[in-house]
Amino acid sequence: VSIGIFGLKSGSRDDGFTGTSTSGEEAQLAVEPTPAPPPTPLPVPEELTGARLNRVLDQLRVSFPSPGRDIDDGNSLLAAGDIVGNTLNYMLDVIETSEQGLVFMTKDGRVGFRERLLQPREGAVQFIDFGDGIQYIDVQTTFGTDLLVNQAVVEYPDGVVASENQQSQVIFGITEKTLTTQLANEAQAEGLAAYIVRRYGFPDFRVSDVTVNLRALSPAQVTQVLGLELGDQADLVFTPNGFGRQIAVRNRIIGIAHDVGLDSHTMSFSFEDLPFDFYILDDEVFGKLDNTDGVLGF
Amino acid sequence: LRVPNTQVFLGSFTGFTLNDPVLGRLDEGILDGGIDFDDVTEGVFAVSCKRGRNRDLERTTAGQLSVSFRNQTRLFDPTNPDSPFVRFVVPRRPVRVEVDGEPVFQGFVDNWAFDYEPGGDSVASFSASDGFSVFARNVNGGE
Repeated sequence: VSIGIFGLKSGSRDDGFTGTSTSGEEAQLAVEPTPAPPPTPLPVPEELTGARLNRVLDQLRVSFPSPGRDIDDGNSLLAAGDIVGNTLNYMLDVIETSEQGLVFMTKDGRVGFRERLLQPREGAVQFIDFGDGIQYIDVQTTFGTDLLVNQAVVEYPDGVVASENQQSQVIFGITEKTLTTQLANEAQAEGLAAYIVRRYGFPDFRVSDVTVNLRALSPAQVTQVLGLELGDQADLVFTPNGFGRQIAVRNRIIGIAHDVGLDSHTMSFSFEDLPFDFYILDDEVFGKLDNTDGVLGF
Repeated sequence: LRVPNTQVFLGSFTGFTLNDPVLGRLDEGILDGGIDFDDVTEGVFAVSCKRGRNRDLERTTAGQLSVSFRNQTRLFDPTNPDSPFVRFVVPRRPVRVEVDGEPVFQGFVDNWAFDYEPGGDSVASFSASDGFSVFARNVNGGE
């Protein structure tokens, strides 16, 4: 079965396709590969995001074995149904969106997944401008509408729900974001929509990036920062320009970059902030009262 | 001259490979195979990589790596069969980067590029991406 005709210009070489090439301005090359079998539906039960991620990874046509994964259980419940015809990247996007967690390749080549409920803890790696801690050479902050969302639309297999932050809409106008998910039910979808407009409903002062010079750190500090991975907590304490109130921010690492030259090695971290503790009814960790800064989780 | 504290490794398949002069010999390769990584840091003068995303609400995309070598001796040149590294100068080779022995990136080579100046100055470089680039080519479905 011919799948297509490829025009070759004079002198072009065969780029790996099986067949014969002919010199000439309009030479044609017919390629007859073995047709790939159409993908069949993958039935999936109702399950947490971590289990769904493992299930779709098990279907890879190139092997990606279980030892090559570092996957949290997840906090969001996904719907039962059939999956077919989507690229794995699309599925990873949908799972990441449904969870509001982080799907990534780890620094040693495994598939990583961090659920959204990272409870802030004491003793995390701390970046500072002076004193004890890991000194940075640059910190970038933002305070704008780039992350503003005051109307969230969440699509899930059984329907669509929306949530809005009217107070924000009055001040800043409507900024809508649609999220495509596989959440299992209306309650999960409403929880996600409410979480988005609560968290991103107002412009917030956020630390976006911190850069450190590895060549200026002690060996122990180098080991500490090289040990950091996407999804880890990292705190920042700094006083802009050295005067005024000190700012302390808890962050989750969402990006890591290295820039290595003969004379320098800088490492940059991109952050999302951890501005509040989650509060989840009946949860051993997230369900504790006396947590007045908490936000209702989903 | 090479970057200090940083090592770049390129991988090669060790399994039985038909028509390969070494791995194609019986009783030589391992049928199921694996990947051996060799240190190719010689001449590396720049490494940059990035994983994850820049900000909240963005999608996580494939991690990216670029490595540049001084290449005056044509060590990294697919048309130089005398180079001990010629077998590595191929796209889709597994690549791993370590700093002080700690992994910082693992993925697959996408492209090699070579810059030759008339005076003999030469730079070879490759770009690579992590496992997400493999996932992008896989359609999901049952067996």
